[in-house]
Amino acid sequence: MSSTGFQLFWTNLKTLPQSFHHAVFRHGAPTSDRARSQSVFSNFFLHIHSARVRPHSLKLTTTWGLGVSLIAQFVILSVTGILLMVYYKPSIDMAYDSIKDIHYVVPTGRFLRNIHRWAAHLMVFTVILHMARVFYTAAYKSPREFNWLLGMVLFILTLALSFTGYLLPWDQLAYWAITIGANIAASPNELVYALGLPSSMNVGDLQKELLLGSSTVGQDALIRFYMLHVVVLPIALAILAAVHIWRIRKDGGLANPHGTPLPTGKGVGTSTPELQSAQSAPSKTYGLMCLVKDKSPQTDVNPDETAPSWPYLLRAELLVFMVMMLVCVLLGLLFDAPLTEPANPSVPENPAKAPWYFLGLQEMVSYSAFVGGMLVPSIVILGLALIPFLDKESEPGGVWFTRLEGRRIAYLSVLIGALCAVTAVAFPVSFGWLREWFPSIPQLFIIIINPGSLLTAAYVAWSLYVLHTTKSTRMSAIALFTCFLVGFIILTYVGTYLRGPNWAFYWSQSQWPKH
Amino acid sequence: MDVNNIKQMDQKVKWALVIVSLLTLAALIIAAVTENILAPWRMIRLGYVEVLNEKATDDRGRAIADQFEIRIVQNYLPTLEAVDRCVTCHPGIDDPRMKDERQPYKAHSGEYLTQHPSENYGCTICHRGQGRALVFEEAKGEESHWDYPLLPINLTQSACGLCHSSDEVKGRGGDRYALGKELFTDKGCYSCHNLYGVGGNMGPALDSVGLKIKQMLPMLHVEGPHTLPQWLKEHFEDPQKVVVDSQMKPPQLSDEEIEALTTYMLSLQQREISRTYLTAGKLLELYKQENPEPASGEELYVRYCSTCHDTGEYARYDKFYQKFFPAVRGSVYVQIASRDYLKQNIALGRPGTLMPAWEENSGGLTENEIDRIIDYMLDVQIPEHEKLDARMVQGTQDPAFKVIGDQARGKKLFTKHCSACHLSTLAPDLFNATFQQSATDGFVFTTILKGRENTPMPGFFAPGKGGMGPEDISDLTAYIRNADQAPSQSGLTFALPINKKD
Repeated sequence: MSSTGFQLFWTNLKTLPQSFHHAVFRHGAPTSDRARSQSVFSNFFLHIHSARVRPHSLKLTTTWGLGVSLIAQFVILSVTGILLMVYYKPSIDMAYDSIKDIHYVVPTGRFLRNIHRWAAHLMVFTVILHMARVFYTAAYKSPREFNWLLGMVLFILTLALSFTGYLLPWDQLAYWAITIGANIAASPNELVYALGLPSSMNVGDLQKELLLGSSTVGQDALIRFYMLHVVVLPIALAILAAVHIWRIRKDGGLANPHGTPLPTGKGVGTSTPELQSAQSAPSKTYGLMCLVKDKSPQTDVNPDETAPSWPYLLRAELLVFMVMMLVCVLLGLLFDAPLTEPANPSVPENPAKAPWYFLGLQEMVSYSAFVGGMLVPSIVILGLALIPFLDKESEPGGVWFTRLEGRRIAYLSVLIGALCAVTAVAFPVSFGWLREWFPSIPQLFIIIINPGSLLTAAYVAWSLYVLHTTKSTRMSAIALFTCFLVGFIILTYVGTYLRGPNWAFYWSQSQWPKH
Repeated sequence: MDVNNIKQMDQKVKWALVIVSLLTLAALIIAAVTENILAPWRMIRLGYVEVLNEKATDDRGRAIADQFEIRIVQNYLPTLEAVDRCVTCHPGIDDPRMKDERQPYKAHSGEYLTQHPSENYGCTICHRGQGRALVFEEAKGEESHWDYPLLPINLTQSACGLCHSSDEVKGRGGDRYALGKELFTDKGCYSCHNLYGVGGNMGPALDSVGLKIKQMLPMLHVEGPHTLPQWLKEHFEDPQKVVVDSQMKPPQLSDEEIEALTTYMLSLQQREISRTYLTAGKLLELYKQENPEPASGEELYVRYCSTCHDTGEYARYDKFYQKFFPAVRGSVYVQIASRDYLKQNIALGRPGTLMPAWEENSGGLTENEIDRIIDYMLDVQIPEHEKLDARMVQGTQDPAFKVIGDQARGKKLFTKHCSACHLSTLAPDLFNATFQQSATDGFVFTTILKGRENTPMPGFFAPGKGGMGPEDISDLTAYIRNADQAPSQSGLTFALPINKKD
């Protein structure tokens, strides 16, 4: 009796590694597609994928892997960020020195900080590309409107994360970039002054103080930027990103040129029972799918027309992840993250420039603070948010530019958008603007009529013209989106490379007047 | 894309995944190795082990070599706000055996370290540079972003004055600093520059000039590296080359003097060093700075006045400022200028001219000091033939004594005889507020009558010889004293005619 008890225990002990493995991984290494599908369902981390995907979704040109890149960058940023948090001290007396110590004495600290910095820039860059991809493949259309909105919030969160992180090194670059950024937040003041309203109505001051916790960049700003950067924004971004990914599945996978055949999300399951009973699919799966209210990706598709997510999708995603990893690691290895002199409020940088993704706005702020800091960003955000609700033509998603006409209009819009943007910059540089011609002109005129507002008006006019001629809201949206994208790129380029001290125009930095 | 295509794609993905993963791994290993194993400071310390072994001739030497660790060494000195890791790569600075070793292993020059061990003083307090850096280029901080780059070695003495008085370091390794400090007083820098609350206001105050960062300085015309020491050096050589509209007269210094003055400038840091670092001599110096010992009138005159007025016995034409500086100790002048007149002119200055106000709130001189300067100014041997008779002197001292005359006639005389100089910037402006308030009628009258010896101002009294008689002088005096009607050139003197090089 006792010997059997010990034997039993001994047997259990011997199989411990195996049973432990089983407890974690319910399945052995799957050997068939079906087993793999089952794994996808039973594994928490894998089940964000559907068991099978359409071949279209696997094509590189459908997504360019941008969404997965963003996940990769977020993971890289989180890991390096947490490591940096161990050494960083968010106090104006110690912040700069702690960065120097990370650079010089923390083992591989320099490398970690470099990766963090470059991955952050890369993430802002990729989030813009990702948005453009989703837009141009019309992936925002019903039923994916809500996910588009989520994406917009994620876009803003990404910018906010980058912006808050920009201040933390507490060097001259950080200090003055955030000062400029905060001044952009204060730009509604211009309108209040121009209208002669009492200064108690300075919404801009309120915004700026809310951002900085003070009227200038100081300890209050540093600590709240730090708190936002390491706690609030990453958590918000992680949760919303999870919802964003979850919704992809609930909205029927990636947008697909064949459309999502079911009429609406009201029904459950499929109307084609013969396909539903495809023998290779475990019935449990369908039981789960039946609970999903909406067009589900696989229910009406013969399994033969789809590919199992494992291994094809997973492997492709892993590749994208690793490519991003390699890019960040190489950047971190080869280029040091900038770190200038310690922040010195009495020595302004000239030119003081906001982080690069706000330089387009700063360029417009140089024409009119209200237009650059308030009007245009509001129009852009509102316009982007409204796209899926104003463009409701039901057309297949997942196709770049929807159709040939869309491609033509996109090219044309690149041309027109670039022409207008270059003119908007070049004209005032060559001929001056209203203030130079009529020195005593009321500021209100300049707020209304300036290169920034005219550029916006030109873009809107062009898209209305496209709407009129093509009678298609989709084509009009392509025109507007393309124009704004091109305008953003050109103004950002001008702000980054062609503006020197006092925001004057220079072809290259070598022409800047020497100090 | 059918299933076969997918399989083909998957094959490519598989291979790409392997390659990318391997590359990532390789990059990570390279990073780990270069950051941790091949770090420059580590290589340098490994090299030092060899040097130590070479020099280990006795047991002690061998023990030092054995115990030498490959790690970062730093001097953490919160009171000096310093974290200096320089000793990581300069481990031999306090080892006399390393006297002739190559850098970075060489021992520190001189006896400095015996009194100032690096554990207590660090390195950057004297040498500047970026103490936290572990790469030489970045430690130098000239090309990298650092506000206080490594000082050229000949200017290191600038730090002596942070803790020592100049007497203490003179002849004991701080000669350059001591000379610089003397030059600052002797060359009359105080005439235009304020330091510790004393000095003129034509140039900027210099209390913290030694900590100016390059962004605060106009570097456009600086030929050498754009650093503060270089700026100071080139500025001393030719102020107008570096600051185009500078009003600073080129100080005509030898190279040695420029080096010394630059050293002294760099020592002016207005920086609070913990008392534990200050020597008794320095504490005394600081005390004296707050409670200056009474200097003699002559010393004060040399320090604050002589730059422009020189000995004061003659009018000096200054090519740079293109004007005459009045002879403030001329024998006629000292006889007719009242104490009150001198006091007002020194205390309030002559607004609109180069003469600054010296009262306590401006130039920082106490009433007592001004009195002593006046004592010195008036203490002049007057030759017999230039002595004025007592009656004449008395009239000049009495503000109630008024000269009456025909102002219209006086104006014509003024235009004829005086305006050429006194309405240009050559001679003092007679309609200046301070002058008008402080001068008596008698002072003006006698000055016209007797003139000023050793200056371009002649005596105009020559009745019957085509010169002026007493009546003419009265008319002229009446015109000059009626300041309301008179033109003032004060505004003109603001724009100094300075020869610009370009």
